[in-house]
Amino acid sequence: MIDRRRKVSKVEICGEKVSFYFDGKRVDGHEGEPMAAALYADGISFLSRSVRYYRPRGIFDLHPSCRSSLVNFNGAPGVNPSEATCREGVKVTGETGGVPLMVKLFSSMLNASFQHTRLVRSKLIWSAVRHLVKNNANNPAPVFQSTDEVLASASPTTTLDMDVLVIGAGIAGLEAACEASRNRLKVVVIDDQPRAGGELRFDALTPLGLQDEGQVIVRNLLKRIESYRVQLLLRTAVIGFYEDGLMAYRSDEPLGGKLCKLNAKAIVIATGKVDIPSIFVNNDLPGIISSSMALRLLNEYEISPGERGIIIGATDQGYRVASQLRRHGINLKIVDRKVRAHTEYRNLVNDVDLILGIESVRARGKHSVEGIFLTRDGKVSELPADFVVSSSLQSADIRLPAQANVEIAYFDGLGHAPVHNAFMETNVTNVFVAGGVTGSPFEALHLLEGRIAGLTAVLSLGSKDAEAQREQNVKEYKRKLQEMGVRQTKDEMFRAFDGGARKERTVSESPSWYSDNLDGMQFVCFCEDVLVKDLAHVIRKVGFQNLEMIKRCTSICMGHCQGRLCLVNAALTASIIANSDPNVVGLTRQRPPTRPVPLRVLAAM
Amino acid sequence: MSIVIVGGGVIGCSIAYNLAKLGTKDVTIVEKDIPNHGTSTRSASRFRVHFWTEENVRFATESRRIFLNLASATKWNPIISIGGYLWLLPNEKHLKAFEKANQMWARLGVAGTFFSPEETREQYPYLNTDGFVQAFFGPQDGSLHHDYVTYGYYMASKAMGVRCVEHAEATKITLEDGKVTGVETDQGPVKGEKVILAAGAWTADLARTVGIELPMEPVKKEILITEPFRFFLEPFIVDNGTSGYFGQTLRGEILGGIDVPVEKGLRPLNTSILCAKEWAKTVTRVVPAMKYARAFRGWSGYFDPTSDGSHILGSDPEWPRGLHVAAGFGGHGFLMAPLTGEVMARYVAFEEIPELMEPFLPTRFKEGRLVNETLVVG
Repeated sequence: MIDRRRKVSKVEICGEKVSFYFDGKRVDGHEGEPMAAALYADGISFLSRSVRYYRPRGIFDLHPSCRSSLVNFNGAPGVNPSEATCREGVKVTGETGGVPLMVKLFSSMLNASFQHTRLVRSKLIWSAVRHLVKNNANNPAPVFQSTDEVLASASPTTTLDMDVLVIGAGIAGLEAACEASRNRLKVVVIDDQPRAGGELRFDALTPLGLQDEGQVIVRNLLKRIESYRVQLLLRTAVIGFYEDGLMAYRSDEPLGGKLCKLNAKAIVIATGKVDIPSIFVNNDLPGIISSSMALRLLNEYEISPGERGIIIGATDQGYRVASQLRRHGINLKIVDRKVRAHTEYRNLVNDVDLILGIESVRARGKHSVEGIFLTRDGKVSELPADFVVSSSLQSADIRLPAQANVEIAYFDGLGHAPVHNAFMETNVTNVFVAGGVTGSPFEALHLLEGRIAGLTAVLSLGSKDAEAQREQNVKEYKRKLQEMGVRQTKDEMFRAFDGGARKERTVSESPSWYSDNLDGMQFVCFCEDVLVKDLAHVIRKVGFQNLEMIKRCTSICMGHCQGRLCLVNAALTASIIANSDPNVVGLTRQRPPTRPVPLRVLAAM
Repeated sequence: MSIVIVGGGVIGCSIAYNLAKLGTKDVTIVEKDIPNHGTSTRSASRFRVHFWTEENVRFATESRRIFLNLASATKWNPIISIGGYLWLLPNEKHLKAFEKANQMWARLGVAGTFFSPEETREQYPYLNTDGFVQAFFGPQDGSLHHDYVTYGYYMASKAMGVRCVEHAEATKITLEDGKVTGVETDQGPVKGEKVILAAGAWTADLARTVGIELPMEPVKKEILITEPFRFFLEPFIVDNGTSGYFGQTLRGEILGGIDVPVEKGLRPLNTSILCAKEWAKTVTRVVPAMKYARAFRGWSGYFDPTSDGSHILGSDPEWPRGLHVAAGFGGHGFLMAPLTGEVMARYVAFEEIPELMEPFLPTRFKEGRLVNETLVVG
């Protein structure tokens, strides 16, 4: 019996102790704690099986938008255990049984080349295969019997009016809210997480260029937010820019919740970054988690991610995670493809083994990760581990700005990000961006971007007083960009905003790429079980290079998470395989809602 | 003979494919974005043979026959699934109309069956049988993968030498001595002795550049899709009372749409919360189990209905010589595409008028031979 809970328990974060049942087994957790965290603490990481290949799946990221594994909650199917919180007596069923024989025989056929295999071109064979196709996908059965006891209320829609809407309560969003509110505007901050502060709220480290620990910075910002009487809506997701309004969705219960219409004169989008899964063979095994999940388990829920871990990516983020895990005596190794790892945080973890110059990674394990095989100088070695942190790439969460018709482009050093200028303006009037979503790497920059975006919002709504303040902040911002070594990268972005000529480029490698071939079980998309080889097939054999066309042939970005985890990986992988400019390959069109909304909630509007 | 096809959607690609098969050497598709982009890829991917007018029934039936053999022609499996359409008829008036039409359908070999609410419940236990007097089941109708149909035509025609100019928006038809010479695009001119306008909702604007008024106007329509479920909903359901429709894809999602009031014209292609709400109301009423389904996303595209609800194929002797139109399908372009490609190719290459195409010539509007089609879904 595994118990990964650390002995001290922060009662102020998690509520009363409760127990629920997973596949009949009692699991202890705290009220308000995500079920996935409590299950992980009990050593349960294998929760369900994937849709096409019936692979064991667990939670990759504890984020409510990450739907890499879904469970049945008191009879309601398709519930995300990262979103649902622990409640007394709830019966949760996963799907951890064996794989049906038909699936074992048949599933390998269901890849991207499926539509033109000779077999299915015959009318007779197709009609038989069709039955297998429709019956073999591992989707939940609809709920036919009345399950009113599991249902929370679906409330009618409310409307909220404001001057400035800030999407994302990370440090950039909170700074923007402070500035706008200080200038006497009505500000509402919305975040889909249970607490404000973004990623820094569970970071016990002092970010580069700042004086305080992440958690302290967040605490101070929240105090200011409170004194300015900014309205803060948590556990609420802005789901989309619809023709007839901007909508938010709040769900306290699975299959319940309510919609809220947001009327805002200006919008600051500060949705931060997403941990992108690294690509290697068996990268979908339970126990392979995002860096954000590792820190969140450790610092927010006092749960140790494991005893022996491997961190993929000798990046700033990799070191930040490593240093905090090390404080709790967790055995760690950091691996990277690069021959030299340069990171500002290197001196934090001098006692961690660093294995550089590796060629590929392959995860090992039956139902959860048990170790990895490393290839280095042509030789394969094995490292045992009970968890793997996949932290080699963070990328801007561009789904909402893209929905708002903000132009998204790829820039070296920033990745895919909304095109903006130093005032944080975008091509859409009164839509501004700040923080991680702009592609900027450091928190010290995010704070300044938030401040500037807030002031630009103030100026856009007619107040001239903020002009001098903004000028001063922009000057400081540019100085900081220079100091932190990202001035050139960001200047390219600012020039692009002003209509300057775009540099043509090809990418030869992606920071998320940890494989030396295209043929194995390397998953780009967990929701739809799309492999790298599926992309390669469509690009090389069919000849499509545009991500929209690749999407239509592979169903990438069409799954439960709406491309949150796979969009950037798919775009970069496709660019590399096609040897093409990421801005030519493009992204897929982002469509609302960003979070699935039950039909009964829509119907109750 | 050089031919320019404006529009790289399912209609344009199907015409290009059939022209190439007839041995036409010089065919160029001019597409303003990428192939299969504008409207084709936004389709609900359903086909049916049941229409109000005999001309459309015969056209759709022949189109369906081509679909069934498409995989061997284009080498792309169109993922055909013949699950039928189930129309829920809310009152006697709707029932009478369907009973009358079914006599015609029977004559044309595509008869359907009527189910009482009790019989419907027996067949489809998940359906709520309140709210309709009878249901009409058309077993010939079904679904396929719209992208694979279009890509199949596109890739097969490319293999036969058809060129496609991508990201080139046709802005004007060019003329010389009353004869077309090609089109002007934002990437420069594309020359051709014959021009086929297969640009869906953008066709009327283009025809206007040479002074031709086509009786059609674009209307934006939306489609929604839910999370996937284990397959249970075989027929495609059309709720005649609300105009809401939905069905299950082979991937397991529930996909459909509903009519909501919308301003005509090429309005921005975003989605509305109003449509989501109205659709959710219909779906959850007709299949109560879908209360627990979550909506994944939605998208929109343009219908291009004509004044009589039927498509326009061919040319008018009064138009500049060499100008042809294949548009105005009003939401049925996808299911009509296979036959449209065949008849248009013969019309353009050999100047013959196939029998099934004849009723849809553009001259019908001034000659008063309208093909009034009002059985329009979604």
